[in-house]
Amino acid sequence: MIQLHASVLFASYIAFFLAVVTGILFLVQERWLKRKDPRVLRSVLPLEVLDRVNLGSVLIGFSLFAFGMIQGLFLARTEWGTFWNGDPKEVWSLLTLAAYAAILGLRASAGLRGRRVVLMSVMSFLLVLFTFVGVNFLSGGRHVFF
Amino acid sequence: MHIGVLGLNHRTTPVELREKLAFDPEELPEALAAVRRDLGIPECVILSTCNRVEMYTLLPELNGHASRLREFLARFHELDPSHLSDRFYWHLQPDSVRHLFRVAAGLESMVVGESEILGQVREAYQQAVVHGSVGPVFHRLFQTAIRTGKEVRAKTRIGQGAISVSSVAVELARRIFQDLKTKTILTLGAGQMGETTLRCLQGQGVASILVANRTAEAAEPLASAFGGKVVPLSELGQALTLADIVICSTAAREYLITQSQVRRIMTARRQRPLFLIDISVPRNLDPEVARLENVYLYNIDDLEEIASANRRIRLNEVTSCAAIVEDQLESFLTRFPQSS
Repeated sequence: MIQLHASVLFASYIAFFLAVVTGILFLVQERWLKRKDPRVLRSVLPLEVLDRVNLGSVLIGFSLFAFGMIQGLFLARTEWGTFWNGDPKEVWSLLTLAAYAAILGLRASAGLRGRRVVLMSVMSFLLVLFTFVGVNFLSGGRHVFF
Repeated sequence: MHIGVLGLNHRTTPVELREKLAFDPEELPEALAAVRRDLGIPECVILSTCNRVEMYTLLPELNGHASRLREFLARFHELDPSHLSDRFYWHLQPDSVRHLFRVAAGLESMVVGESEILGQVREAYQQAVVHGSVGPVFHRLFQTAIRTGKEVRAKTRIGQGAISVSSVAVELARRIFQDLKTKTILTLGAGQMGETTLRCLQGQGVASILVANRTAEAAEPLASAFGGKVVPLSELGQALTLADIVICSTAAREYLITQSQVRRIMTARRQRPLFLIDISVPRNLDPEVARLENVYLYNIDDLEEIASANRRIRLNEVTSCAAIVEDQLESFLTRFPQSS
């Protein structure tokens, strides 16, 4: 079960990373287009495609991440006795989940697309990195390895 | 044996005369047969496009062929040869071979580096092959010319980059939208430049075209020419909600579309990207519109600047293209002695 927990979450990180790659491409090309920089004509993928893949990656990443967390709650109850332990990894995971939920929420309800939500998907990856690696340097966590 | 070319092009001859001297595809077999039969020329290829008419001939000897070919060309098109004499250029090798290679490379084209000419050279060669007027010399000559044309385009940037305002607009649209075939174009005004851009975009295949104009009389013919729909100016807001690309070329003295209007529209269209092309002078779209997210505004100067930068890149490539042509020319001529 712990293997499933780790691999699903790792898969979500890959999806979030794909969102970063497409997001950065989007932001650079969009800036060229706005500033009338002729380099925009060298770009291969249209903005619409990058925006769509960015959204898709966030959606897949979010789903996997949410699944991994929920499965983790049950895992925690069996292993440690309670669903929620207040472990730093758990807290930061919740923050990460909230950030990506906010992106999807803005896209769905406010109909946002383009620069701002794409930028959010790039910035949110900092939370992913911290949850994945950074938290391990805080003391008191029960998540020994990643 | 000598390779000669008699021709005229956009530099030597105005279009009124060029169109009279051009060969229709169905006239070609007759013309090729007549050259071989009446002038005793064993190999001949006729290249006839809207910018040039050129007869490439393999001559058994040099005497008087230039004037006989000139006369043939005039008589074939029922013109008086004496009016035409100073319109033609006549080259013998190596200049004739160099000329063909430069033509195939696009160096002699009105739009330097354009690629259509290479297809036209290939087509002229194939037509001549079909009608039996190509022998061993011209097989090699034209295959080398076509290879040179390809090499020049592969090794240099001569054929790259959009170099007209309308093609730059199309290229930009392709960097924004995934598939132009699902997009709607709204055209505001019936200006010439707007029409050219519209035609360019339509060539990419778009889903639908809307035409809005101050007067319905001007909008109707444009709409019917492009299979579009006329939209009254009072419904401009609604049309802007539907459109993905807006081409604006009117004679209005003020801004027809303002920032607050577009902001409202962007909410209505759930932030789908909007590409605005303002080719009117004075401008018809408020430049402040460009500050809005997912809105991309280009005016005539922005487009022209990119086009002229690309033109400069092409012109800078001319020298290296000419060098490739000279290499090919040299290797062709070493295997084709001047007289044999």
